[in-house]
Amino acid sequence: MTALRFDPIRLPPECEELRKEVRAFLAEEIAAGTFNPFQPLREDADAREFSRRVGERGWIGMTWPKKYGGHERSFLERYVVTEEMRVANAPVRRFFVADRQSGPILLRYAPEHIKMDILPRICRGELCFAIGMSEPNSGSDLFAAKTRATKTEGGWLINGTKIWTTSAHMADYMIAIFRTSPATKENRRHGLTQFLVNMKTPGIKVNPIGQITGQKEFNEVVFTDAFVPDDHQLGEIDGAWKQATSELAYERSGPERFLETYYVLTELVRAVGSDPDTRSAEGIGRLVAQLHTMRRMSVSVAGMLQAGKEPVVEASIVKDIGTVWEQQLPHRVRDLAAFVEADAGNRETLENQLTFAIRTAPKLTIQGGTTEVLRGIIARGLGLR
Amino acid sequence: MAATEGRDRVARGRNDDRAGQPEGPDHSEHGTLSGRARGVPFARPAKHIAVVAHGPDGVSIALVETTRLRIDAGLNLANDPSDTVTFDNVAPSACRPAPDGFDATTVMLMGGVVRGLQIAGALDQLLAISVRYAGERVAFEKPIGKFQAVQHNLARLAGESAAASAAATSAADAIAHADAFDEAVFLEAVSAKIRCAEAAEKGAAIAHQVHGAIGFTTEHILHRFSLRALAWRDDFGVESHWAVELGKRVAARGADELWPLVASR
Repeated sequence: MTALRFDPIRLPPECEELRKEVRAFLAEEIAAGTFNPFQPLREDADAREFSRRVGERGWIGMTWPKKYGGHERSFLERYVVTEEMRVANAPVRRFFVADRQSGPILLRYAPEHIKMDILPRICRGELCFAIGMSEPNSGSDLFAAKTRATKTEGGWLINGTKIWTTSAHMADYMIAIFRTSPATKENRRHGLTQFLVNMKTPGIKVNPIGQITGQKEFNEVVFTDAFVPDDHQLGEIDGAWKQATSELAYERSGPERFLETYYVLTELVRAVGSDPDTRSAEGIGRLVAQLHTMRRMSVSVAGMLQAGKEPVVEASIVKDIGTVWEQQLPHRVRDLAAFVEADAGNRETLENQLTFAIRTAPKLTIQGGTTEVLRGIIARGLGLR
Repeated sequence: MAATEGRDRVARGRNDDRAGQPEGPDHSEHGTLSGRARGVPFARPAKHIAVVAHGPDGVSIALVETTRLRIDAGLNLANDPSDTVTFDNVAPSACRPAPDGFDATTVMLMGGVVRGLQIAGALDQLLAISVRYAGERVAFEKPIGKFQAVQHNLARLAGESAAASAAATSAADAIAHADAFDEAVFLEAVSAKIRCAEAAEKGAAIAHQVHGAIGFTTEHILHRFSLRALAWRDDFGVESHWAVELGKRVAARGADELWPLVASR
């Protein structure tokens, strides 16, 4: 069992300049009415233009090669942009998946002409990506996926259904895994291949699914003889199982994994005022201590990514702890807000936010890898499996 | 803070008040110390105690020979010496004014971080011992570490160990690089205090659960780490006290300053 390390990485001075720029940008956007930071539930109608403006500032594809439209900046700088956007509740959904994981996959596995076409457009904030992994009969058991890719002239025909596909209704592209061969006795993970799918392809039907928060963020995506050309294959045929690991380190450990309900903590502090009672003070102190600790762990993982490592176990720990915390946060805040004056200035805002956050909470330990799967990964890292 | 060589040990006189209010010895006009400190670790075997004292001229740091003191022996949760030390107009061997900005709170914060590091070390050991045990102990015809429930418990223990380590090393790093004990250092030190205490509670419970009955014996080494991790929470102020202090400071700064403070670290 290798010892787990979370070195006390500090963000370098250039990050603080960048942070000021991001805050100033967000303040302008808020003043211009692009989004309301106090309202985490929104339609994202203007996010298309917001995404382009973020791209213009150079904040999408920050760590990618300049050759592809990226900016060759560090993971730590990207970390700063991500956390400031999350805390402000900025409408990042349109470009976030492309920036966080789809782009990096294309960088590693796509043919050159695809990279030259798509990556610069992601960096300009022009593209929205979805991830096609889960199916009606397989979510956590990723390698039980059944949606078939059947070989045909010049490419593949896709038949089957993906589900819980966030943003598929507005995505330009999807990166999906399809079954190109049956699994083998020796390796049950064999047989899946990763592909880039153009969402305008005929034969793709996207059906929105209503969520208990009132949003319709995810979808069922039905493929009927949808054609994917050969040059849209990403990585080895039947070899997607080898490609999943690094993707998970990217996906699992960022600040978005503990900041999704953070806004209720800010509003609680506002609601209790500058001279809180002992109960409120203690509750806030504990929550801030937990938040600070998770952030230090998350920054440490970003530092490890910057150093070229693949901290799969550490990233899984951060996501496990982070998502459980952000899930419990609205309930803790609700408890602490119980004795706040009914006429506190932001009481209505806090109530609305708590309603949304509590409805959101169940998904937090499910999306992007369930707690149970994460703990299995950690256990493997401890040498138990 | 505490030398570790045999009996020639310097132990720090701690607070009288478990809630962490510095009420240690006062430095009277005649240059003597009076007061009481409770929960002083290993006062009995020590030859000297270092003390933070308050007097008319401010804060001093004094060195006192233990032969001049009344020491009432006690034991803490882990059965380690935790003594009550009474100073009755005692002349110190040496006494100097404390540096600017250095007072009992400074010592409490630093001590809390030291205990945080100790707790993190104990949790590291609890994890290693528990993983090894889970691989060796057979039940239902396989090592208990093959059961998902046990694997997930150990994964949670790993998480608590990691969190304690991250919090404590971050705080130690912050203190090592700080010019003064400002709001940022306060956040780091108190976060370590609180988070390590939480990790001690959760981590110790999981380690014992994995071990079953054998971990509950004095013969097994487990308690030397689990009960110490829990006992160390009580030194240098309990976490509830520090949580209140942190919460008050956060509230006084205002809601919109919370994120900038957290992000500054």
